[in-house]
Amino acid sequence: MTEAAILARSVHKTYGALTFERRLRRIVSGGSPRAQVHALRGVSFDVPRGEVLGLVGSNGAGKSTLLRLIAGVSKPTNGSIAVHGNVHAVLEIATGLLLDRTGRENIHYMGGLYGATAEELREREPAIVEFAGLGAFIDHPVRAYSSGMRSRLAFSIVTSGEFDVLLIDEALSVGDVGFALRCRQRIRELCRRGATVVLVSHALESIREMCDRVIWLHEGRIGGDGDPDEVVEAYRAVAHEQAQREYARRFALLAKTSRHGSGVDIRRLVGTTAPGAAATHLFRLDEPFVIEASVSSRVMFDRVRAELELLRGDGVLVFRDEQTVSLAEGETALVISLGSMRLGRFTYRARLSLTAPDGAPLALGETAFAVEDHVHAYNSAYYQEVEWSLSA
Amino acid sequence: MVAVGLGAPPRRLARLLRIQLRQELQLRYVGSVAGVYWSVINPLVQVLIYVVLVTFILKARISATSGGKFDYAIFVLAGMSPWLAIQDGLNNSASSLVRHASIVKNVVFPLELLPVTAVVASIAPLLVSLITLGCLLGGSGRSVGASLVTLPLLVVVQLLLTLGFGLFLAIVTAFLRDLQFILPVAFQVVLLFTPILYLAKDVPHPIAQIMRVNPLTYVVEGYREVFYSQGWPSPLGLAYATLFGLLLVGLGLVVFRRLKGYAEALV
Repeated sequence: MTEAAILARSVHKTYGALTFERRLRRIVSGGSPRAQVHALRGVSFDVPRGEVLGLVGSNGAGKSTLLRLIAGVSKPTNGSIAVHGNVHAVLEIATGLLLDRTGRENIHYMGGLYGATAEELREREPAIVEFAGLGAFIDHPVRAYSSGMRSRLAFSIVTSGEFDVLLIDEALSVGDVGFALRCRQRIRELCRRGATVVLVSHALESIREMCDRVIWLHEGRIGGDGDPDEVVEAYRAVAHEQAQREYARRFALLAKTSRHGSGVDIRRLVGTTAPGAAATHLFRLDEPFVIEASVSSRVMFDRVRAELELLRGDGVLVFRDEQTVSLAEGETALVISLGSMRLGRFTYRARLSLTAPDGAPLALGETAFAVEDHVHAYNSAYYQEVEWSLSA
Repeated sequence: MVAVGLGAPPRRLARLLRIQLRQELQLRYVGSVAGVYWSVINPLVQVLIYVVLVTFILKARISATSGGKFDYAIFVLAGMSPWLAIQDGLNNSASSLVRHASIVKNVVFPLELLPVTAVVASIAPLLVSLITLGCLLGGSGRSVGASLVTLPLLVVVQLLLTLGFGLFLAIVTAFLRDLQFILPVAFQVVLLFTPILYLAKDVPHPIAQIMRVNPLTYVVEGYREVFYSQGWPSPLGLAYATLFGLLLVGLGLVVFRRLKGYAEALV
């Protein structure tokens, strides 16, 4: 049967963004214009039965709001959302667990809230306990649980019942590796049974691996909908660009150049992916990595020692290389090609210092850049093929 | 399961109510030594102070008391019992949505059940008050008459009124947290306009008129008839209070449902 389990038609959701005081004033005075946050601005899609749908997007894109609407916990401001069948949802970590009760008591309480009878729960209890894998903790109050344990319990309870649609918000990313694996297995089992699953996660790799389809929410609208690989890639590209802009703003403050009254001046120092290209503040792994400088000098300078250092954000020197260069009168462009980006996810400073043959400091320049989150990381920055080139 | 409004099967609603009620009572009373007594000990001490003040210091006589040792104490406690339970129910329904934020935010749940649970749970303090009252009656050698059979009816009317106000308080508190601070003051004012510490006919005219409109008056007077005067509650008064309660619950449900979709973002 390939009917739609979830039907969303131009769903809008706005939240009143009034502070308490303004809300009160509005009630008293009877109507100042209402400040609103548009969480969703017209979202439409169908989810066929048995599909695993992933929702991705940056913080505040409307993913959780959409999940709440599907769950029926909140109502759309405009448009409609229809769900066929029972919905079970893990919307927040440790959804509705009673802290003072034991894990076992919570199985009965939460299970009851989700509509199971006492009998059914007695029957299901051993399986839930086993899946949660909390050992003796199951008879301890939930208050004593770590957040990972709480989410394991909540996930076990919520996925144990009879339902047609399962909604999971970031719950997979809290458990440990072993539990995450079991969660995936459980979700696959559920799908075979015909359940529809909607996952929200920032763990793009697991989304890509688990989902049949991905919807990317971008500022309350659908930015992409379809094949997981394509949509995740499209989202990544935009997210990268956004992060790039953000880093550029942040790093603008860190960049500095200093002269030592020597007549030599590092006018520009940037990290980039190709000589002459725009400055890059956020590198991807394996991207070409080039440091570009423009040095001006009042006189011709021979045998200047140029030293490049890469310092990690915490001050650790991760790379150092030097070269003797000669500066022409006027502008000299200095390009240092470092091959491909091999640095781990962190922020870095690149420092270029120029020293006269007699050891007197001539000029110093610094720029900052970051390397994006990536799955496989090289353990160290090890550049063998550094290439310095000069052009007047 | 998607839309478990009050349109859900009654058996399901009853089950959810039972689960919530058990949870609410356990939460409030298990784990503290005197349990449910705490919700009445403070008010009982207050009753004691009124009794000492009126009978021993002011040496005043309520026109209805005949001068027995515990007369005024029984008189006050008979009227105070439903009032204490009503206060308890209103306090807890006012905070019900906020207290159960995790349910409001995460579980598809008929939210109306939260204030309903709070109101039904107010039977616990009522029982404690009535047991105390029973001891006092036994100690003074008084007895109750056949009108005791009307007690269940009185309780039902009382719960209906509590729920009517409770629904409003529950949903409004989600939007306006100030209400929890206004409530204790409001209770004091209502106490003034309800014949609990004195008889309606003993108070000045304007206050007495407000008392006649106040539906709580008939519940309180009903309790007093049963436990103090051994007479029968006024049928007309109870009919008025019932009607008032039904209207209030109906209106409360309408308002509650209109606003509950927004509560999720506020609690």
